[in-house]
Amino acid sequence: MNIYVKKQDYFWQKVLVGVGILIALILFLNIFESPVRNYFYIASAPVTKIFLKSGNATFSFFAAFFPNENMKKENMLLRQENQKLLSRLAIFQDSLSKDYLNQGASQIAKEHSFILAMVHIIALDVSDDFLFIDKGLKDGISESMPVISSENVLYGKVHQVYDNFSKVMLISNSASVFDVKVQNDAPSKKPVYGAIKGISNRSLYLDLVSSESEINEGDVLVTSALEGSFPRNILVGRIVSKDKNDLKPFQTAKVDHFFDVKNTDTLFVITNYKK
Amino acid sequence: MWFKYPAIVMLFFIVSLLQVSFLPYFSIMTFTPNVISIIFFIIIFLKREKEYYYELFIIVIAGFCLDIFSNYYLGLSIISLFILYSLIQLIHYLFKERQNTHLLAYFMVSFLFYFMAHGLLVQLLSNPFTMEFNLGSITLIEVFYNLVLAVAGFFVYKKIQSLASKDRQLKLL
Repeated sequence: MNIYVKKQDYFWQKVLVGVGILIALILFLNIFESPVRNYFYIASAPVTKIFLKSGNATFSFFAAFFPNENMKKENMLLRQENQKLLSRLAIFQDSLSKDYLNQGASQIAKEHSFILAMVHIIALDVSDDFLFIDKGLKDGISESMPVISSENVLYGKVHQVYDNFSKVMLISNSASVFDVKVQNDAPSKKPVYGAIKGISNRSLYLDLVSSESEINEGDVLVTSALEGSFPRNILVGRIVSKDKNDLKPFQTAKVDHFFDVKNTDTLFVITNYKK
Repeated sequence: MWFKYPAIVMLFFIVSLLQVSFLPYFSIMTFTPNVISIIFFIIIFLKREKEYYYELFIIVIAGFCLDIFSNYYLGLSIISLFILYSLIQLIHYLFKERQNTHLLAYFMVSFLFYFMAHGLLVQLLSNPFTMEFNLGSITLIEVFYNLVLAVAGFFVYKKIQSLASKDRQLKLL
């Protein structure tokens, strides 16, 4: 009797059983994907909240040993302050512009009367540019709703909704494209429009700016609401460097985003705005 | 040894939560290490006893933990880890003579292969019609960051293994 033949038979039997179990399990997981994810998030949310806080605290502790990191933190606080001021400026300038075009400012106020749902971040998937929030279908959240911070900084939009949780796609996700405009100092100046494209890993760039338009380093970008993905005048980022080539019909620019997932705990979903 | 099953579940559950809450604060150039993937590789690569069904169980748990917070369908990582597990076993079989001489170098080369292949498989399985794989300088930083942690994990695992084997030795005196 050849014992080696018998051993080989067992090997293939084992492989077949293993593959069969895997296929059955994957089918089961995909049929019940939504409840599986929802219950997993319910079970893990209290722990991830603690880990998020301890991660931030540990990071701050180690940052204290590096003066550069300390400066970064101080810089971040100043940036938040600056963002609040920029946000007010955006609304103010827009109303000025509307006045200039003889349109009533009341419409803007009406557009900005958002209904906001306060949410907390429970997990970060930074490699894929997603984050998870602790409110879902049962709290009136639905897909495509914009997500902003208290400083009126745009984070992204709701991508997937479960019963108690939602997944938010950050504006830096490679699938994210939306219209923006350069914040204007002078209301008489022609507005400059472009499109913000995510390139993943929390990076984004400005594209489709006509070559005749003038953009400068340091220019602040706000949502324009031309195609309607987001309401207008929400802060997006600042131009870091521009790339203008006469041979190309459009100019592009590298953008430093205003959102900061590491130092934010609370966000707001605009529940009465959906494309 | 029944407790090794709940122990693996707990290990990967806690690590998956750390992955999406604690570790993003320690990203380098926006890259966060994939600790679930590293731990899976260390266990499968350095495990002495071969237990097929237990290893299959590890694949399922690690794959599930990789997928649960990702944007891919559930099961994608289970498939990719199963393929990688088969490849690791094949590498073990092909280079079984050289394993004991330069184990660390062998581990590092295999990890690099595993890490690249994992990225490739995830992209391939998530969207089979377009196959793009970026091997630019930023990706190299990500690979290096993960490799450093994998080597650290290698020494920790070896230490645990040696402590466990000491306990099992026959005490004559």
